[in-house]
Amino acid sequence: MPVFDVRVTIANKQSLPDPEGATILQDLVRRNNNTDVTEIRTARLLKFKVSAPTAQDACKNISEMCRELRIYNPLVSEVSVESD
Amino acid sequence: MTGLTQTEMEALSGRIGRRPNPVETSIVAAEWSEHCSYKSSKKHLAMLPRTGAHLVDDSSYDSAVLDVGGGYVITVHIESHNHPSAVEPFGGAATGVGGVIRDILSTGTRPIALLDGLRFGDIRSDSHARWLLRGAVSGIAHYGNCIGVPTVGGELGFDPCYADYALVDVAAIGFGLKTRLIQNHAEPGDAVVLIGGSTGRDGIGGSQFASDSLESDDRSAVQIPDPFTEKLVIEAILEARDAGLLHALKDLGGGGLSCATSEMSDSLGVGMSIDVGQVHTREELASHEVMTSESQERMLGIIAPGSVADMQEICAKYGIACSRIGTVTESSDLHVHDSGADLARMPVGIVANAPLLDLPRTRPAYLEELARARVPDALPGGDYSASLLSLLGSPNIASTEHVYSRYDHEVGIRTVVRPGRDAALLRLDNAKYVSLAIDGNPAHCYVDPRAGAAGCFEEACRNTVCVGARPIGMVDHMQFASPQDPEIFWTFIESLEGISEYARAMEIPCVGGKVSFYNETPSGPIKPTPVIGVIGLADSAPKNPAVADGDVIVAIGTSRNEMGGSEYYSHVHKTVAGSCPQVDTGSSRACLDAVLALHDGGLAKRVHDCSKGGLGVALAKMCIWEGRGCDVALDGAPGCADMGADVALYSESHSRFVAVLGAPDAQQALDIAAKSGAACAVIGRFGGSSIGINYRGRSVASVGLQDASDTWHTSLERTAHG
Amino acid sequence: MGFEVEYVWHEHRLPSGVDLVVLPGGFSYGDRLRAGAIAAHSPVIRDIRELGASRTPIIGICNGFQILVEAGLLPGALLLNDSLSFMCKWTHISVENNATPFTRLFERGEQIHIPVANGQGRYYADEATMRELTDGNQIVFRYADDINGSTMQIAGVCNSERNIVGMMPHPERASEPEVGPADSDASPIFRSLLQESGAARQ
Repeated sequence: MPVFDVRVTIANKQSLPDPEGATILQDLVRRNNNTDVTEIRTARLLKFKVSAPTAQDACKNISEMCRELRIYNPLVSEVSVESD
Repeated sequence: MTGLTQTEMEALSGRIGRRPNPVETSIVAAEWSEHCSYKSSKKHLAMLPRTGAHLVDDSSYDSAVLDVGGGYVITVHIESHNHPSAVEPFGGAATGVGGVIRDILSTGTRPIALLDGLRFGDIRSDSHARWLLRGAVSGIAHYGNCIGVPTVGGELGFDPCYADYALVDVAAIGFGLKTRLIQNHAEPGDAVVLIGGSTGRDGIGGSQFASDSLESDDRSAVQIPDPFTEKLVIEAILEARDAGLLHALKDLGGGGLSCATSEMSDSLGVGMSIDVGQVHTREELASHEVMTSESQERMLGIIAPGSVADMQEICAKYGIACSRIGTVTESSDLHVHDSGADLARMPVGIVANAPLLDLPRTRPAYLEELARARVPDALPGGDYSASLLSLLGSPNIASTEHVYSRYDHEVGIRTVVRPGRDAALLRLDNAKYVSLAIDGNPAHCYVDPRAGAAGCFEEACRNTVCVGARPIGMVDHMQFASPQDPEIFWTFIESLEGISEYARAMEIPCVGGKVSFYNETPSGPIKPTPVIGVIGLADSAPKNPAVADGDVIVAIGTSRNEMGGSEYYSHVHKTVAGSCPQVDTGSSRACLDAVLALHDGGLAKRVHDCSKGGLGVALAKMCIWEGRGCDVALDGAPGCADMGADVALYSESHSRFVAVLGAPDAQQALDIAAKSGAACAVIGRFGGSSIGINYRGRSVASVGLQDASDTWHTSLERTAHG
Repeated sequence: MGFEVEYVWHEHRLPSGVDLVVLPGGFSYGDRLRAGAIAAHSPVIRDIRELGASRTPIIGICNGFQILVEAGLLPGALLLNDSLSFMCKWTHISVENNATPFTRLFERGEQIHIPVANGQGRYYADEATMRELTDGNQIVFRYADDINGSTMQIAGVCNSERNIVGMMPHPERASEPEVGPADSDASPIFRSLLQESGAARQ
């Protein structure tokens, strides 16, 4: 079976604040005159290598696994799962 | 999530003489929630004695204020964040820390220490409980460490009754000059300002959420912790305090602006006009959302209208926002508008005072069953070595170092007695020392809520005197399931009465507290879980002279056959049976006095109280701490001669301690204890490499020191990562 | 101890006539991005950089060390502890270099009982940096045990001129008998400085 690179990005839901991103934006980026930057959101990126019949299956399997193992808390975080 | 019951809606309509509009309804629903209004408990809380020598009596404060001499005060507060922690342990526990810190800050004192009491399901078998534990500990570490307030102690407990749930109690201590306390007052025309984090949709309906059971919630009330903003709020507020800008100050907690504005107006005897259009928000919000959002790291202040610019300048220095959101008025109304368009106008006295309930109560049926439960037999062969070792590894007894080493417990350089010992002790700037211990015992409270609750109180007092401090005040945190269940409500009242009786007998005032109802798990109500915090004051720190082989071990206090709710029965025999330990206030006073007298006389090298696991575990822990074995004749301990080895080892009777003394001091110590009226006897000596306990001439437990130490030190970490 | 001390706000200039600078511990900007990374851009760092170049003693403790590293005033990097979590505990360090303004009152190899309290306290240096540190005798303190996975168990380093020292452990928490174990005494770090700055003033 082929092996796929699957990237899982976990971030606070867009409706919730992201204090770390806000601090990097306010106290580092904008303070140093980069006023064209208006938002920074942080996230965690997990890179998986997974064997599966298709890229679609790989993403589906990893999505389910992340939910089952509580790799993220669905109450707080939203995830995106991508493969090339 | 509408919030008001039909009866309450009618009561509100009757009181204001018309139907409330939707914004008014949501404001009142937030304030009349159980969490904010105490509607089920308030009538009964009056039984707690509330006067004492050190108490600075001012009901406008959200924290207890105690005069510790030399012009200084300490402030104390305890709260829980159970419902949010049960669904999002990291954020729930972290924001719980933030809320208590702001209650301390609202008096105008600097937070100097945190303690946390955590309770989860059985982590040995329940992976979800382990997930909750890890998340809550990370959340507390994340928040407390970042704001530079040490987490100096607390407790950790496990019981299957908390499966899929979490109790996260946080207590905090503040310290400051009495002259710098905020003198909560307001004049018509004063400005109302909102300081700190921006208001968003997070946490909307949180207080009602905390007043419902988890079954019925929509789980949207998540709050995101921002400890860096909290730190900036702390420093900005203290700078404004020093500049004399703050007339009144209040934390925004449950119920958000609705509760903060109505409670503040009510306690100051003024009205308020609030413009929701001036609130700094992070997203588009409806008016009722602005009024009920529980976004974190916000404080409500009242300042002179001419001070607004100064206040904003201080906040700008720290990079936080300060919006003028309203004005103090002469009327007695809470008036809410959006840039002039009226949204709500109701008398604050009505908003801030929910109709109180007097709920029915009945003795729970389960108590009859418990009374008939069969007591386990003594072990055949009479060797308790394996049970002692096993108890040392019980999650309720094993060392919590794995947890507290993740908290900075020394920042601020006040910590004299560190976590892991009986109580935390901090030095103050007036050359005195303040202690705080928090204790709960759901196993005892389940068997006998009245005796159990009094026992938690006494245990906190025992821990206090172990570090040489005298109890000067108590904060209670009452955690129960639904008060609408008459059996649950009975356990609440019994606990409250037990606490009140002990407080009166010992003349230790209740200086603050909190009630948390609706603590229900998917499989039913939690056991009654009152948690008691006792604040102590000492003139000197324990000297901790070196302990040597040959030092004598003394048992103080009388053991009785009180195995009900014992850790031994639940951990080793998987059962609950026997009668619950009772507090005898006479013996309690005698034993606490004896320990303090031993400290004052410089005689006790170490004192440790007996609690979970009884004398057996207390002796073993003492040996582990000192790195020495012992040889003890347990039948020599007061009350132990005829009770049987299992009971002598593991009964959890109150008012008991083990102390270590130099051999030449033993007689003098016994005399001192006798003078206080405490039963006391030499039961053995330190020495050797095993914990040796004999009963009536026969060895009943012999555990290698290394084995005992390894088990006690490493069990929790191994279980938590299981 | 006899120091005349002034706190300086991070957006202000340093006053003139400064004998030494202490960057204390803490959680500047909440440790966001990386511990010390944002504070390293503070306006006051420009003055500290100049003072450092003019051989004024500068010590960074814990977050202060992280800031000095992020500002490029000390070599290496500070990473998440190998336990992946914050760690507050007492440990032992040895004095590897007593020829700095901060360690002159210690014997070489002397052990100090001292606490650490950090999340990102694992000192990391690549091979080239390690060679520099070793050749220049820039390793000031090492842990007696491998508590967090630091390269060569390094607990503190100095610059090549030896006037700038950074350390993860907290000597200020181990300098008064009341708040530490009986055998803890890191106060010679501060007394060394007193001697140094006193000497500098004469």
